Amino acid sequence: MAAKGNTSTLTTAIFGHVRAWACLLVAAVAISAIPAVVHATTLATASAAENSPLGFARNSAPSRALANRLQAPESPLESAFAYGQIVVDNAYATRGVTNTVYQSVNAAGKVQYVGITNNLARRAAEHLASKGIQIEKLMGGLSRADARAVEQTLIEIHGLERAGGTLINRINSIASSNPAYASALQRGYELLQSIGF
Amino acid sequence: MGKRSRVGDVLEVAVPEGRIYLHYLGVHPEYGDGVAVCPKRFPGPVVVEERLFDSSYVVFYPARSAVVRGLAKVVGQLPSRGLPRRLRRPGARLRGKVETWIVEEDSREEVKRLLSDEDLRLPLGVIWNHELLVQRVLEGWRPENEGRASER
Repeated sequence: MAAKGNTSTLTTAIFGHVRAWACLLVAAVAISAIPAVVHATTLATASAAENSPLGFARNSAPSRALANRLQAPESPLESAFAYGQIVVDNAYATRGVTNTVYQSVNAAGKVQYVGITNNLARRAAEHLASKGIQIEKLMGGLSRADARAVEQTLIEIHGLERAGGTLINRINSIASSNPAYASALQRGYELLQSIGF
Repeated sequence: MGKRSRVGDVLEVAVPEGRIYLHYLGVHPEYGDGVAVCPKRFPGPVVVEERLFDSSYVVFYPARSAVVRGLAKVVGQLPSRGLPRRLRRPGARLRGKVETWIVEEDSREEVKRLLSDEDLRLPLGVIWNHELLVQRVLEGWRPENEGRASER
């Protein structure tokens, strides 16, 4: 009886130890997993926050393609990809980012390009190694619609190169078939009058 | 020196038959990197000292990008005097001529058809690319000659 009781006590003690160790092991595993869970949550949050306004995840193929086009160093700037840029910039505009209409002028004073940007310095840096030009801000703090109106009005003033003008812009900012074309030109002229046009 | 530039750096740019020097003064919120341009070409390296920029003028030029791309290299450091707040930039341009100038200070802007002597001394709020910077220095360009009434 005494031996049986001792065995039982020993068994209980052993199981007690095992249970305690098991609990410790589970706790250790749980604690070690916390950073990974936190990291994964952070990544998920950051990824959601960095998704583009177009719904492309950052670094997804469409997002990379768009970014490459936006950063194309040689550009005739936005002209080749005006529609994509407009979508992106509209999304930024809703977050309080305003637009600047700028022009690129060669050493002889000829206006070669007119465009819209929300970061003039970045745009200029993209053209650091182009042929000799200076980038001039014309008007800043504009809504996207006003910026396009001013841009199109400047295209009318200077003319596209293929139509005998000086601008290398490949396309109009607002097509003449657009119902808003006439009112946009009127708005553009009004705004440009404020700086002496 | 490294491929990074910071405010106060003196930059050397190789040009035909010599080199020119810039002093990186700071970052403007709209125009980006502003530099003081020493308006001379030197046949060889110079001692970097403040008087190198005694007759300099200020323009905007993407200095940090230029260093990263190897178009300019850092050759020294001098204290930056900061960027001017009052600038002028071309407004209406028609048929290759500047018809109006916009004098700006912080967020205030004033449109002018004729510039005073004081206005003519203001730095230009425009951004030059590398080729234009070199061309302007080699041809002896100065801001006070840009926008004189006789030009119009």
